[in-house]
Amino acid sequence: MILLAIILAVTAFVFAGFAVWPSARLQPRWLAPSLLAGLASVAGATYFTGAQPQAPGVPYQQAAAERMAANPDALGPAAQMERLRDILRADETDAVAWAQLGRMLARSERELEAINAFQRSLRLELNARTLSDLGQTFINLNDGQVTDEARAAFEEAQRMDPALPEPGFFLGLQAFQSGDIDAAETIWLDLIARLDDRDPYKILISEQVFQLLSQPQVNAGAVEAAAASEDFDPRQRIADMVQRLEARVADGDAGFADHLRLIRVRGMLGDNEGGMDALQAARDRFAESEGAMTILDLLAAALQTDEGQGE
Amino acid sequence: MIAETGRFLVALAFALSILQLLSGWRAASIGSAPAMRIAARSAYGALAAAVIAFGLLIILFLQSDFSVAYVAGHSHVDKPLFYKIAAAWGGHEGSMLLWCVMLVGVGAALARFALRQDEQLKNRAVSIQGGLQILFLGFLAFASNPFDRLLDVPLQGADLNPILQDPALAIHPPTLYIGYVGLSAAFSLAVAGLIEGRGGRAIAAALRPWSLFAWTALTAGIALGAWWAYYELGWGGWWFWDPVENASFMPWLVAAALIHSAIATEKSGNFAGWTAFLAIMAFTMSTMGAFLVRSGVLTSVHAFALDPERGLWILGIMTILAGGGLTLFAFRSGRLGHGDGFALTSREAFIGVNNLLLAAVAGTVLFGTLYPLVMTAFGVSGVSVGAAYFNATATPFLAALLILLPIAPFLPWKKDGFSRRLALRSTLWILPGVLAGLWAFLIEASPVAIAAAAFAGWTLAGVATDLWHHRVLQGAAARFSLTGRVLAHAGVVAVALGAVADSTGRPETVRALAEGEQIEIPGFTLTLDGVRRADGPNYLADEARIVVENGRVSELLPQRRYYAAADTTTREVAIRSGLGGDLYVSLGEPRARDSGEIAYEVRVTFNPMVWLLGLGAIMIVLGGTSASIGRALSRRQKERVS
Repeated sequence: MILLAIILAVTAFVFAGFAVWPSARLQPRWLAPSLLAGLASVAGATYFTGAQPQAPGVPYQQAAAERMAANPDALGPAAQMERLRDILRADETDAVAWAQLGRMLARSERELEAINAFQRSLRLELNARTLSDLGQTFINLNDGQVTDEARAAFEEAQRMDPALPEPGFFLGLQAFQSGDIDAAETIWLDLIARLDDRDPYKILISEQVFQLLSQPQVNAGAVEAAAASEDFDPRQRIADMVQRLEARVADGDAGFADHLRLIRVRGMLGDNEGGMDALQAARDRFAESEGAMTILDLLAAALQTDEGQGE
Repeated sequence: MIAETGRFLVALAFALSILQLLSGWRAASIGSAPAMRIAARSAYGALAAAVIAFGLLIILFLQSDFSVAYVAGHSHVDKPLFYKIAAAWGGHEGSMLLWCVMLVGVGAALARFALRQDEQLKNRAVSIQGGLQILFLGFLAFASNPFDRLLDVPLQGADLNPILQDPALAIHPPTLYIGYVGLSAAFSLAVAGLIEGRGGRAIAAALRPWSLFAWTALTAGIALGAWWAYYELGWGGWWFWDPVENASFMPWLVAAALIHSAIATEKSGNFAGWTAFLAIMAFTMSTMGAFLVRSGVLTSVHAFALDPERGLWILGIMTILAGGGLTLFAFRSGRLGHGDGFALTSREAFIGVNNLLLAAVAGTVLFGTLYPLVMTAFGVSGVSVGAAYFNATATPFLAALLILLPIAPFLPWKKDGFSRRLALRSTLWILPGVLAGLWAFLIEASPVAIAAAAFAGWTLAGVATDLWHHRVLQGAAARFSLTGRVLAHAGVVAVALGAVADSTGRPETVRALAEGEQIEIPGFTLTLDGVRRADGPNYLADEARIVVENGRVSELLPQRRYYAAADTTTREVAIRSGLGGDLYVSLGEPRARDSGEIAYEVRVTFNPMVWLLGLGAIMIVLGGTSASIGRALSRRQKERVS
């Protein structure tokens, strides 16, 4: 503040002195000092309209140094992201920082930038986790669709680290979205079987797989057309669907997804006993599939809980 | 500290401008030598203060000091160095500081170089210029200060608008401002001349070199802006009749009229009042350009400050300039003298017609530009005036200008001069006119374009004859002046021809292309060979490799860029230029087809002979420069003789 005051005073004196110098020897003698003072006063008054001499300058280098010295956990998300960028400005070859930045950007829904960060990280160091994150960002960018780019990233990630759960799940999702339910089922059940029981992803993925596979397979156009007719009865349609599923289960033609649909629809109709019967049928049918048994165990627990609550 | 020092220097330049006004006025009124020296030193001091302030602003940009609101709003730490510097004038406050630097520069130049033989007029002009500096520096210091601070310092800057991150646009504003602000010298000299009661000849002689210099810079600035629009906005247009473009075109037209009118006034004293009037209007029109860009009264790609409060400031400045200048003109123009008179077929008569036509174009452009604003003020919204109006109203006047342009240099001053020889000569010019019209017909131009080409052919023949006929002129000054005139006139013809050719451009072809697919336009086959990432320091980019075949194989690399900090996508077009014209390709959005294949929107167009526009602009600028040199040499010769 004092230094600034000195600089401004010297500047004013030099400039004003230069301008009024020709009046130095003029009469009256007070003319030159008056001009000098007048100039300095006008400049000072103009300066103080909106001046903030107490506010220090914050060059970026200084701000970055302060962020680097700070505890990262004490910083907010935006500052943490800027800190990572600071690190990368200093060292563009830090693959870990690029990947971390990518994750933060992806969480902020800045997918294009996140993809760029992941790709830069991967150019420096191939890493299964980063590949998987890249694939997931592609999916987010494309409204949940597993694109070819995402699939390529997941395939590479799975090849590098088969233990990583996400690539398998999303590769199954890709098969599911393309209509190949059997392939999706195979991939997912294999994945669930491979995962350690203590892995939290095992339950998460099992739940997701159940939700996806047990979705009723309906033709939206046909449903719309049927709903438009006068004698449309939704209860009758559901009953027809249950009948068809029961018939297929009884004939032994039902796949794992059919079994799950039957369990789900019975559960939704409040028929827990029927649901348990369907579950038992599925257990008998898929006893040798570890993945399927994991999902069925979860369902059994859920149905028992519902039953307990019902009592 | 840097920001605060910069702020203080702006305040100091403001204070010194007040001293410049007062001491210059006193020096002119009582002939005081110390007052004259104080005025000059104040002008130099204000210039030094403004230049250092501008330098400090650039340092703040280089340091990415986001505690300064203007830096935070227009920069980003990852931006390339060149654009960090260019961002200093990329927004309202910084460009206003640049405007003020040039304004005080003109003040210092007037104090140093102008009118060595008429100190009284010079001091009055320096004083008036000081007044202009007060108006603009006051606006800067109190309403648009680029050194304003932020207490809550952002982590990162908002970045400069990506479409402004371009070399042409980095140079365009400074060049344009030299033109705009250069016209302030003509304003100050005209007003000073009216106050001092000088004759028209003295005023015209004083303001001619300044007007010529400013007009040349304005031409360069407008041309750079048109060039930027051509390749940056992604659809190949170079002139949109956008209100802000019109705002630069109007002072250009008025200044063009002024430099011609001033020649006649200096030579024979004719048009003295008109010359003074044009000098006042040219700078007023420049200020109107600043008002349109900065007030928020219109939306445009050029408008960078949407702030009605600032608009009121500039409107106030404009009112003072136009009101004060024209009131003075009304009371004092009688003292300018009546001149020697002139015959109906003298050079003055043709210059008079030239001025009327230029003024008519400026008037129609002014009407078309302001009409929507006036209607909005009366509560009628949604009114717009488009290219159809401007083309229909301006083209006939410009065509008439082209017809008359080559005749004037062969006419004598004051007396009748339309000889049989000139009649024969101008009849011969019809042949190139017919040939040019035929060429336009063959390339399937519109009837208006065919007519314009014919007029251009006529004019070019006349300009060539002018060069041939006056080749015997003696002395460097006369030769430079002749070269300047010929280059500038030929440049106008080249621009007209370029505009004609452009109007015959084929419609744009737009298609979604996947890798390996082709677009065909007459004469060219374009194949999308692939798309790769081509990220820059502050943007992500897709770059397409497009193979072009038309007898020979070449490649074009258009880009689609995403600037994350500004969250903006731009198209960087790829252009293959040739004598026949430009093949113009831009890359758009990717789209997934049902098959899952990614296809990119590719736009292709062929713009015939666009290079003529650039060549014309360069010729006009070189012409203006050559004429300025000729003028300076001539003045030096006269000073030596006297």
